[in-house]
Amino acid sequence: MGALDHKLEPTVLTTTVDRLVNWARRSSVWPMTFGLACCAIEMMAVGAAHHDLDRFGSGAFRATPRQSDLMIVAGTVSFKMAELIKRLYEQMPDPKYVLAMGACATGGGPYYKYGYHVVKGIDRVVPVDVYVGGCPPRPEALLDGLMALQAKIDRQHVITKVPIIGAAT
Amino acid sequence: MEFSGIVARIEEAHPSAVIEQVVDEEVTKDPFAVLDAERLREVMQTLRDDGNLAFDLLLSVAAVDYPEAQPKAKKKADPPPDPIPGRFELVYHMLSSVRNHRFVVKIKLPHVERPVAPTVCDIYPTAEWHEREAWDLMGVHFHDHPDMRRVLCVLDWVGHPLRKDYVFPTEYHGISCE
Amino acid sequence: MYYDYLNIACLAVFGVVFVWLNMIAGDLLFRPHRPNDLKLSTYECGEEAFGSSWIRFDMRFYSVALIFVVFDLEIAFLFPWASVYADPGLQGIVLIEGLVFIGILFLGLVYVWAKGDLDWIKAFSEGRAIHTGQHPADFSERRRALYEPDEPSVGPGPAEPTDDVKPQEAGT
Repeated sequence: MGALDHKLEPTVLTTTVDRLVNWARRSSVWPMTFGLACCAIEMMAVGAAHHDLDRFGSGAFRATPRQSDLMIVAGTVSFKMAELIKRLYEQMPDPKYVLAMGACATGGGPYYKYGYHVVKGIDRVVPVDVYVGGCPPRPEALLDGLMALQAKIDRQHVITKVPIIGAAT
Repeated sequence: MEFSGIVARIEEAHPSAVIEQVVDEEVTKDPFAVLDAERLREVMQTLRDDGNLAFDLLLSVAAVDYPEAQPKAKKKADPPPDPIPGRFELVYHMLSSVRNHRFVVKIKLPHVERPVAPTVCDIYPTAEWHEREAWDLMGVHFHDHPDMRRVLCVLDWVGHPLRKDYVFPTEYHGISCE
Repeated sequence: MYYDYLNIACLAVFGVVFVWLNMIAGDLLFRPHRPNDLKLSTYECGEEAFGSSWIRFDMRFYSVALIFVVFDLEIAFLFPWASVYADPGLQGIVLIEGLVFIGILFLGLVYVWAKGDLDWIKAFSEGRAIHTGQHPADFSERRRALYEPDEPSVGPGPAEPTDDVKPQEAGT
C-alpha cells in the first residue's frame, strides 16, 4: 500500500514511473456529481456532446465519493451544505482534487456581503486545487480549469521525494 | 365578492375583530384588513368555512419587520402610546378558488423581542411551513404550532437572519464568515 | 481444432493474470493509504446517519410487488406470442391461446381486486400526522436537542432579552 510513497531519489527510472502514474491519473479524473446551483447546468453542458468532457477522460460522473477523484463544487454553498461537502470530501479516496466552479464557490459571489447563509468560498471548508471564475463560467472555462488540474497532476511526485523549495542543494 | 363585502361579512360574524381597513388607492393597490391578533383564528375559521367567502387557499404567510415602528420613550414619565405600534407584522394572502376573489389579512404583533402569534396551521395546513419559515428567519413564534423548528437555516443557527437588527455571525462551526 | 481453444485459454489466463498483477502492484507500490473515520464509514450520502436500518415497512409492498411481477411477466410473454401470431397459418389457434393466457391472469387480477389487495389504506396516525414526536430524526438525541425551540414568551409584554438577538436600545 503505497510502499514507494515519496521515498526514492529522482533518477531517470523513478521520474519515468512518476510520469507514467501521473499520466494514468490525469487521464481518468472522474468527477463526482455535485451540482448545487446554476453552475451545475454549465457542468452538465460540459459533460454533454458539444463540449464532451470525455475527451479528457473525465466524462464518468460518479454518484458516490468512493469512486471519484475530483469534486467539482458547482454552485452556491450554504452553511447547511458545507458540513456535507466536508464529509463527502473526506470520503473520497486519495489522491483527490477539488475544483471550485463559479463565483459563489470561489468566494461567495453575489452573496458575499449580505448572504448570511453562504460560505464565502469553499476553501474555508476543503482545500481547493483549481478556481474557475464566472457567474456561471462558460463550459470552455470549466474545460480550461480541468486542463489546469491535469497540468497540476502532471507535476505531482508519486514515488520520488518531494523537493523542499528553497532548501540549499 | 369585493373587498368591502368580505370585510362586512367578517364584521357581521365577528364584531370588532377588524381593527382597521386600508382601501385607499394612494396608500396601497392591494387593500388589506388589519385584524385583532387575539381573534385571528376565529376569523380565519370563518373565512374558510363561510359559504360566501370560501377561502380555500392560504397563499402565503409573510412576516415583516418595521424597526421604525418601535415606541420612542422620550421621557420615562410618558405613557406608552396607545395602541402600541407593533414592530412585526404578519401578512396573510388568501385566495378563494371557488368564488374567485382574494383577500389580504394583516395582524400587528405587540412590540416585544420575541413576538408570539396564534397559529393557523390547523385551519390551513399549508401554513405550517410558512410559519416555520417566519420563525426561522424573523423569530416570530407561533403559539400551539405542532412543529416549531427551523426550516431553512441550519438547526443550530443563532438568531433570525431577516430581522433588521440582525448581527452577522463571525464564524459558524469553525468556518469563518468574515 | 482443440488448439484453437488452447489459444483462447492462454489469452484468458494471460489477461486475468496481467490485470490482477498490475492491480496488486499498483496497490502495493503507488496507492496512497490514508484512512480516516469518515472515509471508513459506511454511509456515503454526506448526511450524518442516524437511527437504525432495521425499520418496519408495510406488508402491502410485498403483495403489490408480487402482483406487479406477474403482470410484468405477462407482457414479456406476449412479445414472443405476438411474433408467432404474425405467422399467417397459425392465427386462429394462437389468438385463442393468447386470450386464454390473458384470461387466466385476468382472473387472478379479479381475485386480487376482490380480496382488497389493491386498496391502499394509508396508515394514519392518531390526529394529524405532523407531531414532532414522530419525526424520524428523534432517534438522535443530538438532533432532538437541536429541534426544540427556545421557550417562547407567552402573550404580550416585554420578554426576557435572549442571547440570540441583541434587543435594540429603546430611546437612545
